[in-house]
Amino acid sequence: MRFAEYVIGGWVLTGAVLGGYWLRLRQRIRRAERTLPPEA
Amino acid sequence: MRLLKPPVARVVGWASLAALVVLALFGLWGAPPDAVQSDAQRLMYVHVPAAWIAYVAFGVTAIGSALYLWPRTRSLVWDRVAGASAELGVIFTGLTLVLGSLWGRPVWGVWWAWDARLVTTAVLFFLYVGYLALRRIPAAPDTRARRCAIAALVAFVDVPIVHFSVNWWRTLHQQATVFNPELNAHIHGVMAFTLWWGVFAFTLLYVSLLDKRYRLECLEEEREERELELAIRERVGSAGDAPREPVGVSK
Repeated sequence: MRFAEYVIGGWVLTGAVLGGYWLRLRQRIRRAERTLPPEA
Repeated sequence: MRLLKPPVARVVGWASLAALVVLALFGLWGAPPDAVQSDAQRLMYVHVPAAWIAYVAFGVTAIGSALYLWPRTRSLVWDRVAGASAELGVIFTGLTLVLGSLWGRPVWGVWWAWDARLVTTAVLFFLYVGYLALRRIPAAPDTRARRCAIAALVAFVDVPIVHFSVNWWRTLHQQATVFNPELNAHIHGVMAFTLWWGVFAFTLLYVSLLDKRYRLECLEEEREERELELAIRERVGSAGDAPREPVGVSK
């Protein structure tokens, strides 16, 4: 593959950014659910 | 508290993952290399869908903001949708800029050019980063929602400028190709399929992420409300237990 460093770099970066964001959202949702104070 | 019902959200999440795997297979192996740009053109299959989703995300933010400002439809649900979508828009715009830069280096010979399309896209990115910063400034929910809705509508003016910049100014960035009737472009069947599949896969991913981000926004608001209620109860309770002394009476 020509320009492999740019192509693979771009695709890996896309996967890392979107996958990382998805994981971070899931982690924040779980933490928010766990630490939700009881209803007054 | 959710945009999608949990079973639907699960199906959309798994479908978007499967669609992205198929996109990677076609984008990196299935589609042939471009006659002029060779394999560098394979970045198009992620760059164009990312740009498309950035437009969609900011469009949803603008619609949500307009619905919040319209008195008949005013609801904090629209404000939450607008905020959630703007965050996704910023991520996809940032990705569009970086992928464009990675594509530009082998094709144009430069990482960055002060080109109308690139500059207006960077302006769009920073406008919505500013919008997200505005959302974090503490204020009453309605006050915050109103000022953010106005800011989102002002920022959205840049979206058509980004889109038409390649027609309005002489740019290094190419003009619209697929839907340009003047060009009558012929695109290889597998290349066209991969491009449209990328748009489809990224749209599914956007729906899935928007649902998650909206849920997080609801949970965080719920927590703030409950903490405030508990604090008020504790305050009222402690005031009731304390010994009462007459105020302003000298002994």
